[in-house]
Amino acid sequence: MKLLRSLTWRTMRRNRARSLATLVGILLSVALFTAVTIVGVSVWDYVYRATAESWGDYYICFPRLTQEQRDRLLTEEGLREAAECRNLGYLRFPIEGDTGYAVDPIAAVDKEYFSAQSVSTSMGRLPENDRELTVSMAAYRYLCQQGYDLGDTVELTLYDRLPLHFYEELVPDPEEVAFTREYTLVGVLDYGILFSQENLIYDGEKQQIQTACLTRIGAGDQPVWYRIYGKTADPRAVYDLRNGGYGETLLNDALLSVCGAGSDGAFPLSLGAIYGALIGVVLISAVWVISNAFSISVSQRAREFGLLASVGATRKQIRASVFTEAAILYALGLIGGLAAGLGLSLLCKALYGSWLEEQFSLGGTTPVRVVISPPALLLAAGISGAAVLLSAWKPARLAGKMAPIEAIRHSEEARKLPKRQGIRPWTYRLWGLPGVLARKYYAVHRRRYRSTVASLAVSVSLLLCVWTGCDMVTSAAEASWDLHTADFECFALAGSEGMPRELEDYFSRVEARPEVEESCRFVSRTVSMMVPVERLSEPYRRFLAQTRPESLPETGEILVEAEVVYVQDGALEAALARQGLSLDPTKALILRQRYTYPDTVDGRTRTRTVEGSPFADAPGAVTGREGSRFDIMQRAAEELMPGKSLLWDGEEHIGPGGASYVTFLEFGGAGTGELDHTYLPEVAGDQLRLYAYDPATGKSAAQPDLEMDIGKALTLTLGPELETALLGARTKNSLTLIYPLSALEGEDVELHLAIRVRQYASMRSYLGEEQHLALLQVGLGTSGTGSRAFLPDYTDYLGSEASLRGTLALVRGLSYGFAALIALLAAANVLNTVSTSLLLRRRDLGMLRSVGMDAGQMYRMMLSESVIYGVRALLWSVPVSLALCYGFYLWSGAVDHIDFSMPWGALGIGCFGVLALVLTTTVYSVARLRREAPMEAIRSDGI
Amino acid sequence: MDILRTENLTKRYGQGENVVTALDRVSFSVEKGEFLAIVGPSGSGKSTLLHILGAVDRPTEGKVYLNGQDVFAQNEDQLAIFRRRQVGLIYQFYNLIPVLNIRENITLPVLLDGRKVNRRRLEDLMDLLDLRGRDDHLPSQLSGGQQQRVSIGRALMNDPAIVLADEPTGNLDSKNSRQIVELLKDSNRRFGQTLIVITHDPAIALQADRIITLEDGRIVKDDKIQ
Repeated sequence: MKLLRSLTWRTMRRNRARSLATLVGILLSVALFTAVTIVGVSVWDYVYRATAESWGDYYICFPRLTQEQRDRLLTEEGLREAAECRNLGYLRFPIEGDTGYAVDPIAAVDKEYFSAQSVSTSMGRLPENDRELTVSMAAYRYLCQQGYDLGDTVELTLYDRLPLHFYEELVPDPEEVAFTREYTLVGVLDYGILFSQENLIYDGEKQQIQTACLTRIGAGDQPVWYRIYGKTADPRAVYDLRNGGYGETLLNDALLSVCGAGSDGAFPLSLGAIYGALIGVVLISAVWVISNAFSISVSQRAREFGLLASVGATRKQIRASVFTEAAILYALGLIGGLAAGLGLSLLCKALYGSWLEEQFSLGGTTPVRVVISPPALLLAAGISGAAVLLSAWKPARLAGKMAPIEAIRHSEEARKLPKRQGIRPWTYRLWGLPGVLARKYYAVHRRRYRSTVASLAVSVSLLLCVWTGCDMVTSAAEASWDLHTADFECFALAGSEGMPRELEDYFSRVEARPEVEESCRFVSRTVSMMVPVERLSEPYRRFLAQTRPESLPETGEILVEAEVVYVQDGALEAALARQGLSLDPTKALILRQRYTYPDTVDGRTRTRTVEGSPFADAPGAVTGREGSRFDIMQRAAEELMPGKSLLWDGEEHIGPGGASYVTFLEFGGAGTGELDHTYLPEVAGDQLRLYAYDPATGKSAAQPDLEMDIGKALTLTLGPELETALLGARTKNSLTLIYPLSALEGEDVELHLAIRVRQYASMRSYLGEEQHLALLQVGLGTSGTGSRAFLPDYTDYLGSEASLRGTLALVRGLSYGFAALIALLAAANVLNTVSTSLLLRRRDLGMLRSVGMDAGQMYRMMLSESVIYGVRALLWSVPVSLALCYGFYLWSGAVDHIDFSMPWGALGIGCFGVLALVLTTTVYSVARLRREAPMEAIRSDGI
Repeated sequence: MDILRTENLTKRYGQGENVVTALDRVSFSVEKGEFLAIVGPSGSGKSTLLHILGAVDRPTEGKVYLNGQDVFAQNEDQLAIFRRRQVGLIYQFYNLIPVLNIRENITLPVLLDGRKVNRRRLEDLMDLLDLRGRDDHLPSQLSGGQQQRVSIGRALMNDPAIVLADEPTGNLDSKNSRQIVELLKDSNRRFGQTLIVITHDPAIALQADRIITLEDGRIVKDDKIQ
């Protein structure tokens, strides 16, 4: 055995080129496995941390626990980590120009809380002891008004602990107990989602402050309550814990989804599916490449194996020789591959890291890091080891089975020629001698080329699938985006007494910026209108029928919501002038819309886009009411059960017989979450009636539970259709009516300024600074009028669109990168096959040259051979991958209804790439062989 | 009239201390239609000389003239044309193309030259070589003697100026050896082709017009046979 190992080692050294090509194949495979594993783990780690930063690093939150519940929960076996927050009371400070009080809860938290809630500060730092205080932005503004700043010691009056349901408005209680305590103001909190008004004290020594508070202000009527953020050893165990009798619970579904325990499980499923698909493709490609390399190795060593067998080597010994070669090459490839895989991962991070941080961190600051976890590396090493073993298995068995004399003669392949191999005159005329020889050699070496054809086919298929998939995702995303005409939209409350001077100044400053190319001021409101169905235009009716069929009756009236936009007079006049119309403030102009909807014809769903007015007979008059359906239902909820916090769940449901009913849910309250009132609404004139309704039976009460005035009816006189898009107004899937801004009567409005810019980055930076300055001015009380109405904000449409496009580009880039790496594996395979195939046929080529074959003929023969298997790869891969793409399209056809488009670009690149690859490798290999004299080649025994 | 002439042909293998001189300033000439036998012990440089004459190997120094033309002054493509038109090479181990059948192997130089196969000559050769009925066989389906006859057919098919045979009977039994030598002599007589044969067999050498003996890469004897 020692001799055989030595022989294997010597053979490998003698056939350095082939050994190197096999090593490159193994190295590339290990590198790909490693990179896919590291990148997969790193992406999961990043998504987990970014999600934890945005949504908190906990699985379940128990927002209101009594002392007894808290003690019981902390002894639960499944609970692995717990962060605690205890309510101490609240800070109260007067609102300027208002009789009420702003109330900010104050809570003592433990160290774990800061990571569980991902608390960060916008200024200063977090508290480090129980005499330090980090406050909310609202409290900071109040303290600034009082002349305090960070670092100052502030004496605060803590009022009674908050009631258990502190969402409810606090009514100042003259009886409430208070005590004062001194704190050092150390920071301003930058909260994410929940409990954004809380001010925090670090209660490192648990319960000390709690005890102090209880001692000073007494237990009072309100029970002490706790909030606990927990993590279970198994994320799925939170669902058991939720039913453990701890009252209301909040699940961190975002983080649970990342852990594979979300209620829908979509994220881990898709990440797992992508990861599995990647590993599968790499595994198949790697096995093909390495297996091919070993098959070639066995062919090269056939005579050696024959000789060994003839002098008594057993099949087992011969197989062991092949496995020895595999083990040596795997050991060498593993080290290099792991390093290369790590390098690839770092390269991915360098290329995509900051992009990923920008796209997925949801406004957070989580950095992407390359996670080198030993289990991941072991997995990569294990999978690649299995791939090598799998690859060497068949060639080793073949080597063991080889008949000694056949191996020595090495004539096996020639015997596989089809019987009719004569050159027919027409064949010769068609292909020429080089072409005929190429066909014959291809027929002989078909098995050797099989894996090359397969790996090329996989690469082409992958490219086509990636291309089509990315195109479909992009089209679907673009179809679903509501692309805005404006790049930014600034807005602020204008108040009822005309536009405040600060707002006018602010808008003027923005409009005068050099970055601004075009701007338009406007106010947008929602109006609910009852419109006779016959007055709707055919395109709009079709759109409603496809998107909201339940709301479209065959006859009678339909409730539609229109956006009434009051546009700056100058901009509107310019738009009308382009159409040859003049401004008439008494008529509502109808903005031309583009309607996109899925249309199913003969069982196939396609996206249809039509343009036109929603009204069939404009101009004319329609009646409407101020406020959206949501507003009306919200008011109904308030009327229905005064004193209770109710929420219309925001969606309409369809019951038996097509009845459209609404559901009101309790929000806050006793925390049971079981209150669920279902009503059938009826609009009659100015009245809304709600009848108690049972969705199970479809029956409703005879008498309404609520009869409510839903506001004065408006009569809008419709004017002509406006064909020009206006900055800020929606032109897709909407019903938009336009008035001049001057027609707006004085009332509380939110004024908008839509702008289109030349330089995005500098404008965004400017708007951010302006907003921050205005917030500080209001907080510090330096605002001219002191009005709280002016709090400017802005929406970055261009940034959002760029972010979405960036996400798509990232997905596209990663997919193409992966396809490129697989293509690289295929290229290594092609190079290996072609060069080794030529080496094995060195003698034949030498003979052909010795009888007068010139360089041109040799190139033509080899290129024809390459073209044969290149074309075979395309003949397999193109139809299969097109079928796959179309199958995927049909499977996902229900989503967004995007038309299937042939991936012509990918087809072109795939065909060109395959032919270029095989031709280049052939030319390179033939050029190498041509350097030696024919006799040198003839003397070689092909081994 | 000389058809072939060599001047100081030298071939060295290896470099530095490991250099081996296979041919050492070999000069001789061959007349048109002559049957020349080259003999000598193993490693004397016979095969190297033959391969250089057939332009399948290059000399380290020296020149080869065929019909007065310096063979190695030509580029690779011209040499390829030279090989297919002017030279017929017969190897000890036949060196047939395994994927081509017998007829294709024989006509290979003609096909490579892009010319039409002279069917009459092919038929004559097939008869002469006793290969009738074997047209569609592959080399692996023939015996050693038959394969060598195919390689002779390939060498003669293009009517080359010179036929070079490297121990054509070295791998055959005595019966087949006699047949092959008769064939070569027959073609030499019938087609007037110049024939150079390397052999270890004195009986074959004695049938030649002239015998050159090589030792350590040098010509030690050049005898005309009466």
